[in-house]
Amino acid sequence: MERKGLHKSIVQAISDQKNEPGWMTDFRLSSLEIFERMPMPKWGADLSGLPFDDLYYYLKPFEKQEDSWQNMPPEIKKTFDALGIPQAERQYLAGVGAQYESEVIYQQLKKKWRDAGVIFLDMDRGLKEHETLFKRYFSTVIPAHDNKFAALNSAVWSGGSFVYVPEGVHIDMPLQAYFRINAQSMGQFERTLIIAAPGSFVHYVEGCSAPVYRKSSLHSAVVELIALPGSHIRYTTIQNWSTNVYNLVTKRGIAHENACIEWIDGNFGSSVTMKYPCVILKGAHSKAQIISIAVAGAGQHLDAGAKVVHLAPHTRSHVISKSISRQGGRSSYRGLLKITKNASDSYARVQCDALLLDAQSRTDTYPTVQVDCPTADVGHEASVSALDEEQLHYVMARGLTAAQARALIINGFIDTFTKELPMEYAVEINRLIAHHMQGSIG
Amino acid sequence: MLIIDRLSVALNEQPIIKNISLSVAPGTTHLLMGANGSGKSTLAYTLMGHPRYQITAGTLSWNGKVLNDLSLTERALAGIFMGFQHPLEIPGVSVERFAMQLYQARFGGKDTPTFIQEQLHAALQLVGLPLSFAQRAVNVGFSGGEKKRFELAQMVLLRPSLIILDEIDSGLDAQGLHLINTALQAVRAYSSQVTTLIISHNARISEYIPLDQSHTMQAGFLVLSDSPLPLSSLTQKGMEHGA
Repeated sequence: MERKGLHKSIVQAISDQKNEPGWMTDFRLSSLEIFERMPMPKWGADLSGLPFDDLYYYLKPFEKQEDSWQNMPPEIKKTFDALGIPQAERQYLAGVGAQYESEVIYQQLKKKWRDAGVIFLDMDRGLKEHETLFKRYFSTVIPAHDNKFAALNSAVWSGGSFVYVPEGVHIDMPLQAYFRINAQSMGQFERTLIIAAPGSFVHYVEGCSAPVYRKSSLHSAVVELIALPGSHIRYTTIQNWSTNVYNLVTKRGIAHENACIEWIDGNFGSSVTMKYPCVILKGAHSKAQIISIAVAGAGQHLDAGAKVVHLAPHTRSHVISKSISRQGGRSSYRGLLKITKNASDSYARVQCDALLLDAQSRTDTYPTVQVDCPTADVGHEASVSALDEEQLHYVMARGLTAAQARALIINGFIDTFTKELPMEYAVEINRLIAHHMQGSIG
Repeated sequence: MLIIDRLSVALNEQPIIKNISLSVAPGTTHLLMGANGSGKSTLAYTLMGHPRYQITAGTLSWNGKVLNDLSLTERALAGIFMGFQHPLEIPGVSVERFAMQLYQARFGGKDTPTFIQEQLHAALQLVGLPLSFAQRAVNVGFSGGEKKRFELAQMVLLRPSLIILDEIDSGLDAQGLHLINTALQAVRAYSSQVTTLIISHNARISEYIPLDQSHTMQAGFLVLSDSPLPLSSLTQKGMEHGA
């Protein structure tokens, strides 16, 4: 079963091993057919280097992530040092240790959540223990045929979180994939499904600023959010895959009446990322906010952005995208804003700002705006700028080094993003930028 | 002791400062006057070490140390502070965070964030800026006068030993002009050896700051170095040379 390449027998074996109900096995097999039939996307980043036949499509957690800390690439070790992450935690975060001491805290939280009726399980257990609820929503937001990589994930998904927040329940602390019992949540083909019942609130945090090292070169996740009337889901991602990884992710949420969905999406790692968190504003007075950043360095192409579809009246959306390209890296903003004719009196704003740190780097913007409703209020702003030398000199004249000054200015540039993060993440992002900037100075 | 010895400076290959010599003794305050374009600001930037200004001849030294090859950062950490005529905006960086980082760069990491915050609040209060400024982005949306007050607040916070204030008075109202001296006194409270070079095209600044000596530049040359003069004659000279 643990062999390279993708075949029906592998998909069958994944499903057998997980002892899944027949409908899921069928879903996986039909998704595989869709994957095989669909052509590779002809837009976006260059995916010609993706070695489909050379990948493992199912790994038991950790058994194949067997690298010891000593075998980590030196670049990754240095970043951990710069972030000041304790040794025990590092191994866990880097995917080479089983888990770290937060287990105790996690168990306490788990009890609190359980008492409130919150379900927070890995997807396999979600399917086993809550099959009816699971089946009702699974793949309803992102069908297998949505795109080639959603089809691939649908065929071979493993790991990820299943979250259900009951009516009126507000979870104060962010649910963190970080706290999970094992690292399945950071698996190759993770799949997450979050359902917020009416009037509930949940903040889910995925990933961390520490680099996540994977030998395997494809991460293709699917995340589906269902925000029922009056609920609020905030989903924060910090992605820092090692730079051998293709990160091709489909994230989409449906917001019903008066519901709100927020994607806070930070991209630092991977060789190639294609990810456009999406909100479908299905119910009247529903709201979307998407704040994303991409920091592309040498050899990286981060093609990220946001999609919002307004289907109902009085819907509001706000997209803020910031990108930084350095050392020959490339970042692209690709966005879709669609206002259908039913979305009367809707409001939409898109703002994308790109910062280029040197002449070798590149940035592109591909905005698509489609407005079919005359009463909609739509605005789009984009800017591209270089790092202002005079700003740098001003800061250096107050005693900071060139690297410190750059990091400070860049952290200011992405502040709109950072200030949305839980405190400990924000601090780590600042350190991560400072670490990157040290490397940028010749 | 600040010694400017036969200094010539070019900007984009264009000679701006031509063979000037000037000494400022420890603990004294000098005024450098001159019309726009006379080379005053160029001298300020050159003292601070701005890379755009090229020293083509001569030497700058501070307390016996030659500055010519030191970077902006090195000079700042050696205790040199220049108040900018046009302070720059840094969007997304709060005054508090900025101050915290500058303070730690200058004095090391031994003081607690709470202590540094108190120092910042005291500095803001001293220059008449509300404490709410601590949460605002550096210079973003500040009025001209607020920017100058914030330059003074940074000076107070960083306690430099050589202060160069470039047109600090422009944009400040009468109350603000009084604050320049208040801020200088606050720095001097830590050391009587603080050396100050005030650059202005307006002689009225001498009404607000006690001076030991004044100088006048014209077309890149230092044309006059006087003891402090009564305001009337100073203004007259400034006008003559600034015409």
